[in-house]
Amino acid sequence: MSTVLLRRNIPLWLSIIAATIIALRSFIIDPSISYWAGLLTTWGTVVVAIISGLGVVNLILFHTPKIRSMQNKPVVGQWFYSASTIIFTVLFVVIGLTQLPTSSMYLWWYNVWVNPIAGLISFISAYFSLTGTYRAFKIRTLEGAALVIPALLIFLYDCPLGPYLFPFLGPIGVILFGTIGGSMMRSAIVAIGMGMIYISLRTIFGMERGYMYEEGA
Amino acid sequence: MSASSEKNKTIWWKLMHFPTLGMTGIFLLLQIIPLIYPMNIPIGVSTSTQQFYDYMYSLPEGSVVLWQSQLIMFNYGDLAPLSAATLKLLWNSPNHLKTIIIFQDPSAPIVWDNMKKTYGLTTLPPGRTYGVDYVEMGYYVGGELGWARVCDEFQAVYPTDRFGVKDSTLPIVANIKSAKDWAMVITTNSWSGLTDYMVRHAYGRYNLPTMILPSGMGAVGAMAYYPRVSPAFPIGAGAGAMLEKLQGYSSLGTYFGSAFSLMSFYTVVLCLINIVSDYMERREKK
Repeated sequence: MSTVLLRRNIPLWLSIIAATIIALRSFIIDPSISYWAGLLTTWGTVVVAIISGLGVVNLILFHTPKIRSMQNKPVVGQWFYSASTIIFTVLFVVIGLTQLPTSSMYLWWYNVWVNPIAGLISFISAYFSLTGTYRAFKIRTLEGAALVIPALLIFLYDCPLGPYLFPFLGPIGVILFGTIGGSMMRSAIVAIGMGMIYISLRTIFGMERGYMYEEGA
Repeated sequence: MSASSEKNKTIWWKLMHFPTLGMTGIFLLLQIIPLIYPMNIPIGVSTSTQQFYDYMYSLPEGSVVLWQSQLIMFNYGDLAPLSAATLKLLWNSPNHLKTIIIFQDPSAPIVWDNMKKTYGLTTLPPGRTYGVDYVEMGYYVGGELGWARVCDEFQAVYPTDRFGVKDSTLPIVANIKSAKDWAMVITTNSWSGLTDYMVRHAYGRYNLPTMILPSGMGAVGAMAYYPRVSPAFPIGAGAGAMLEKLQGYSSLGTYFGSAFSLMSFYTVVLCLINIVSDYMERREKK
């Protein structure tokens, strides 16, 4: 079987068939289409789970050369960061495969290592938000005022003390969230939806090939 | 910068260049102090949180609520108070709401257990039974595809609860075939992409009200769905404290609410100082 057939034509036709069946489910009420769309969705779920494993392999392939050559780019001590990434990835894969999530060892590793790090990252982002807000919030133009004033009102509306001290914030918050902000976000979602339809049609007609193997790429 | 050039700067310039370390140090203290020494800072209830409380109690008697939780350590500080207060609200609902919990992330069940332990929610209130009024299923894989399948074939994704008990022995899920058997969906999360795909299937295909309980950082993406898809919009730790007040009790969520109030007012004051300083500095330069 030729390479082109294996690497291009078969994946292309599989994508076209899968995308068409799943898209048809939303437009045609038919038990057989629903069945096949459901089956493809299940296969998709399985594929996603397998891809997670593939991601670990890819991570190891990416970092191993950096450790071998004791690389110091793009940051000094890059090899150390690469090594620690691989060590902890392998460690947690082993723990995940050998221990149940309810086991004490699994919980110890999770609660002692993962929890504090995730919490710390969250708090660091809060600090950056605070300092960023402080430096960036300036009113020099009408447009600037239109952005900053509602943001400050939302700060007050959203915290428990705000509605207590300033009851008039109630209706203002609803207008800002439900009408002004909501309509802006809805327009963004509609734009994204249009893009998704465009990508889906390109996939169905076999024009979307960015996900496939390209010779020399 | 030398000491002499620093001296020549105006008070407005100095205010605009408040040291980051000092700023974040105060920020940290404002978070920690209310948690160690509860301060009883007054709590007002925002309109969108009051709407959530009223909506839940207006559901028909015995409605089945599917709650998809993405409570993970990254958003724990913001979403744990809200999740705890919402869980208590569901458990004590006079209309006997039945709650099915599913998780979006593999770590979410562990974090859920931590939340229940921290907020004293390890046992159901009298008159409510596990498997009848409340159940915890596992986490689903596959992102949007996984969620689509949960909606279409609930029992195929979850043949047992997260402790291995078969669906057929759990009355709350024994008759759940698909999203058609739920009254509504709740989602607590901090990721707008997750909100979007939850809505696409629960509301888009099954026309179910999808109540979004976002963290502060997820609120922007979620507000597109308020008030039509999500009939209310309680946000993060602040809404957690408000829900505690509405239910007539105070716990860690109220203390978090106090910390959140202090942080928010501190941020607003800093911004106002910066805005005024910037204006005065520009005026003096003219």
